[in-house]
Amino acid sequence: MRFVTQMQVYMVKQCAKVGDATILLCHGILKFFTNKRNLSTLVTEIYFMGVMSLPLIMTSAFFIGMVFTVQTYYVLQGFGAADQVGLVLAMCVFRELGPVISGLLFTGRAGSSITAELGLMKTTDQITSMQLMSIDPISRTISPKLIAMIIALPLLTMIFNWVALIGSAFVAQGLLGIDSGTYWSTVKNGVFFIGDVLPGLFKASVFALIVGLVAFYHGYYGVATPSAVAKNATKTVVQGSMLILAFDYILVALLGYA
Amino acid sequence: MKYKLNLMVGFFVVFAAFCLFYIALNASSVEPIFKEHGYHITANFSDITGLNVRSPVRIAGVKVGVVEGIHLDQNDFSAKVSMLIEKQFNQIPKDSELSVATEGLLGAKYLDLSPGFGDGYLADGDRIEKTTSSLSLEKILGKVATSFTMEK
Repeated sequence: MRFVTQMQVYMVKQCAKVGDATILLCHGILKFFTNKRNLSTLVTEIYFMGVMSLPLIMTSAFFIGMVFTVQTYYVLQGFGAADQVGLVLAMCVFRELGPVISGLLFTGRAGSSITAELGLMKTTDQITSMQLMSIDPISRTISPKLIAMIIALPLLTMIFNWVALIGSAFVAQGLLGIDSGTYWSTVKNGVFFIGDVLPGLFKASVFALIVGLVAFYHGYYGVATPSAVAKNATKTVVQGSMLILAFDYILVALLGYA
Repeated sequence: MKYKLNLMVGFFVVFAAFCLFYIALNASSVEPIFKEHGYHITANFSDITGLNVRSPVRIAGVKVGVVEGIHLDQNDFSAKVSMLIEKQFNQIPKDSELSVATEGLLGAKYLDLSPGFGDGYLADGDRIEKTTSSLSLEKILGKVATSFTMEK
């Protein structure tokens, strides 16, 4: 009986945390427009989250495209369908790998740094001093970062898709000897822009919201001691990655494309 | 510093837009949103196993249209297939014949339209009477097997 009660208390506490995080996220979006200087902060944030993530995203995409092509090639060869390798890659990358892997890398690259930054601001009482000076800390620190995430992740996904495709074309045409015309025509005929490419980009922006939710919650409400900040950054990466993969399934089921 | 930052972010956005346009133009086809690019015809088949919506309709291997819908005709329990033929192919004779064909031995199914020689061309809403249904590999193998056993 005692155990059941404890479980109930735990569940209620977890629900309250989800509520806190969601309210924080809504405030973050709504309060973006209350501060005029947020627009110029936005550019800086896009620079740090988007442009600085480019080397990571592009290198991963290029090698994922190459490895995927080589592995699929040997399987498809068994069916005599080796020239379809470009189509298999394009479908997988545009629909799943592009948004999901960009999201996971983005969680590690941007999410953890946001949690650490907010945690450190809290440790050094910067958030309290903002409130004392009647500056809204949510509008000042969270809003521009959140909007920058929602803008940057779909852009990074677009770049990921293209680079993976180029990496695959490079291996398929250069090393595996698939004709360039065959490669591009199978891709072009099999992939639909509205049905395959755009849902992937929509998923990427949802993933940005999820990473934001987790990262801002752990940064803003987490315990503010030096060791706890490190733990919170780890929590952001772990929980953010799990939520991205879980929501990926939910979105695929909801959008109804399989 | 601020100017350089804006420039880098600008490059980033332009690069992403380039990637999207490249994929849109070279690596994907845009589905027909406005379906007024051709005319509709229908045909009844006794078996269309393997044929899908968006499967191509071909004359001599050249794509002239797509399958738009597949329904069951409740009158004679045949499969009613509706097709959209592109409007530049407006001189297909009325007595043409449709058959379900396969790309290669195990490839995807498509509809092969072999033109007839009669007067009059197919127009919107027409129905093709002469159809041949899909020949599945299993059925052919079954027939071959029975013919062998019969000969013994």
